[in-house]
Amino acid sequence: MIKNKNTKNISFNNYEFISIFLIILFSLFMSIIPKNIILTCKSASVIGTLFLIIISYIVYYFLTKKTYDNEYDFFVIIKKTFPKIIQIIIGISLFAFALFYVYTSICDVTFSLKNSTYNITPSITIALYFLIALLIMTKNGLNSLFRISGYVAHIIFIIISILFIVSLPRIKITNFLPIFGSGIKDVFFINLKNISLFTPLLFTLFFGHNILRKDKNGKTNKNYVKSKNRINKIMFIFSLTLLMIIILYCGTMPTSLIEGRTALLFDVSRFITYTTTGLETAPFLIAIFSFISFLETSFVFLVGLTFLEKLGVVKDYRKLRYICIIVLFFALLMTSSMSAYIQISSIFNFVSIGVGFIFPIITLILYSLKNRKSKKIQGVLNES
Amino acid sequence: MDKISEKIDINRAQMMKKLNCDLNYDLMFRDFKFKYKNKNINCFLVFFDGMVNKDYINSDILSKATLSYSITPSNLTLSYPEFFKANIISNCMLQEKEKFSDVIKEVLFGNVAVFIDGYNKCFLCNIIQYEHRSMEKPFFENSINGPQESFNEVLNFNTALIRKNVRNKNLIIEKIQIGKRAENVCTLIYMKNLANKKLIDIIKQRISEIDTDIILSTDALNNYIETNTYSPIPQILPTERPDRVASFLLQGRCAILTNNSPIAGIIPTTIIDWFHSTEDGYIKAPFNIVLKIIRLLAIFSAILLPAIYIATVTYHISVFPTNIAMSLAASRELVPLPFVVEILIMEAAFELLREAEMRVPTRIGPVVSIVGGLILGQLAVEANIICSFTMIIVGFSGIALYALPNFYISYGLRFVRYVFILLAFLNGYLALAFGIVIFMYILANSYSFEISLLPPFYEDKKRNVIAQIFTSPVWKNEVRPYTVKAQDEYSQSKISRRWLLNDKK
Repeated sequence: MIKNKNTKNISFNNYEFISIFLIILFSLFMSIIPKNIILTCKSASVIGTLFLIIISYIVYYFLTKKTYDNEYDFFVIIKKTFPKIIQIIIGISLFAFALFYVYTSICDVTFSLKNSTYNITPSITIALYFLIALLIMTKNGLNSLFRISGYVAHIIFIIISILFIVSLPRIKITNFLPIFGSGIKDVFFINLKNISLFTPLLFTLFFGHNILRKDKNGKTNKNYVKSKNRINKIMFIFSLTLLMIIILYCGTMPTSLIEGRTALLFDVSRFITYTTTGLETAPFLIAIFSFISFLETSFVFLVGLTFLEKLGVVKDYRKLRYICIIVLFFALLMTSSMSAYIQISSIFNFVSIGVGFIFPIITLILYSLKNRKSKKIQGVLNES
Repeated sequence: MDKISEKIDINRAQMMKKLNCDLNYDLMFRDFKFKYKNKNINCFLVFFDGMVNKDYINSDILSKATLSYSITPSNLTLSYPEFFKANIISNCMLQEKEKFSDVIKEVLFGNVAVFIDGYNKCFLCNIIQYEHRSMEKPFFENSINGPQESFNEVLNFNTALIRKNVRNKNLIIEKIQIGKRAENVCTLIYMKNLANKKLIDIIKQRISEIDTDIILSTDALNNYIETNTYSPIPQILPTERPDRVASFLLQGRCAILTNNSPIAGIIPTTIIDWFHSTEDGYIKAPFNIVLKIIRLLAIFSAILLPAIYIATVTYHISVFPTNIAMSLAASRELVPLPFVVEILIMEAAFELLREAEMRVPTRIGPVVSIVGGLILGQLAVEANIICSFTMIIVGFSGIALYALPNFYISYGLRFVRYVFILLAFLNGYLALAFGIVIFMYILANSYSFEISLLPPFYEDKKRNVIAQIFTSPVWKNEVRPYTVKAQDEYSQSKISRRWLLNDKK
């Protein structure tokens, strides 16, 4: 068994990869983005979500196919496509994005917790738990995070399913009418800005090679057709969960009510009681949601640091994490109000569309062009 | 001067000097003679009193030496050391050593050293006989259905018990010396064709590279060889049952046993072992599943119940139905202490009781529990020092801790509980989640000899944590624990009950 302390040796099995993926996506469901979908599509949120799922699925189908048909992972593609200096710039940009991601994520969960339960606790006190967890859990590399996620992902999936099933009697069909909400333009065009919800799919390009089927000799088979099933599985679980959440949101409360809320999933869970007089599930869900955020922020932060290491910006990222956490602490200290966070999150949405979709597409196009060119030169050389 | 001389006087003086004869009251020197071809050969023997079978020395060695004067033995063609070996010390296990250091080492382990004049070697007779405890019932791993055998403090006796259970030529029991000043012996036990070779090498390397004066027990040895010493969770699974050691060995694991210790250490271990007890192998599968569920609940309650209680009553009282919340408020009306102080007082009292009960004589033990647990608890509630709810929670989690199959694991987990209580007090469920995630992280980074205590949750249908915890009927257990990485993954064929095939025909 590979020791976790070896940060360079990232080792996980398929189940763990799917688990961490589910955890990251679920933490996005707790964020402000699903609310944005509902605000854009109104009663057509389910259709809008389905549309986003299909679009991102198609885009990532081609991206993963192109990546794994040719190379081992996306790091190799970046290295083969760009010169060294651009690689360093990409590494730093991806790291900055990861840091931004962690920041928004901590902000999101902090404000959600503050608004729903810990009203008198200062938001920085809540955020401190996440920063300390970040400090501890990024010490020994990604492997232990993969390991823990394997233990909790299925519990989270079961909890979401229970939330969904228990909320079924509260779901009103009228909340889904009119079918196309405020118009087709909103659902199919303006809604595209919410595709940032699918940014974590980017990680499949970098770490997805581990889920490729291994042959008898233990060597990774670079055959996309074989690995496709696993990526399909991830996408299916994700889509199913997201749909459940969206139905949960807009089915149980009218859109007009949602506009004024901040922590949607906390709100939904608060409505569920097992007896007429009490036994609310919300506090337990707070523990679950916080748990997810601890794992998600640590994972994304470590992935960011891995970008730096793999793209040759730094040789060992371990010392860098202290500086990053101090930066995050001051950033969180400065974000004192919810309105400030909402503005920052809208910027984050656009940045993540750029990183999650535009960047890999452009990289792969450049890679193909470069490949074609080198093949042509090779052909000419062979002829001569 | 380490080489044994041919002159007996020199040897005698050396042995007396090296073993501090003038200071050691239990060191015995006995001079005697035997007759060989009309010559008197001087000899002496050395041993520590109380460590050898004195009857054997008297009736065999000394009396046979005297007998050589009255009866002329037939085999006088042999040299006199060979004659001595064949006629006088023929009834015991023998070794010959040329160096004083080797001789002294063996004498310290209870062998009798015999020097004869004119011979530059020493005979070592293995007639070790310590006073020791006889085999008793297991102390902390009781079982109703299984065998009632447990290890005692004599290493040879313990290894024999394991051999009795595993009659296989591939069972290897290797002896390794430990301790620089007070030399002791430990054994590394494994199945040659099953155990992971890399694991065996690591264990051997770690044990042989210990540089210390003394290691008295398996527990002490564990401290020297485990990876994360400060972790409260044991990384070597202790057991006192030979049948359990046998089953672990057949899973491809290794065991260590130390002389003077009735505990064997199993390597490697994972959290899956927290849920398995000795009883599991002897009861039917459906009951086994129920037992495992109970143990899961027990672990959950033991670690988290007091913390959940604190978090709920301090931050999220809405969890309780109104009537329970009302009665909780009523029971706390006159209690001046905050919940967390109440819980900590009660937990401290519980720990105190546990410690007291371990040390008081057996007959008074139950009295201490009754007086401490029932009477004092009742009085504390009546005096409004604590509320009855707290009493129930602490009592329940305390019992849950003892429902865990292994005493050592519950010992480790009970300290984790205090951390959770304090975290729950700080920020309710948020801090509790923080504690749980960090605890899991510590588990994932704790290693039992390169194998993480938190194994991968799912590898395939048969190699996953759920399948390993909720073991299926014995005939269905085809795969050895996947965390062990044994040389042979399968313990039986896919159809182990071959008679089913005949029945179908």
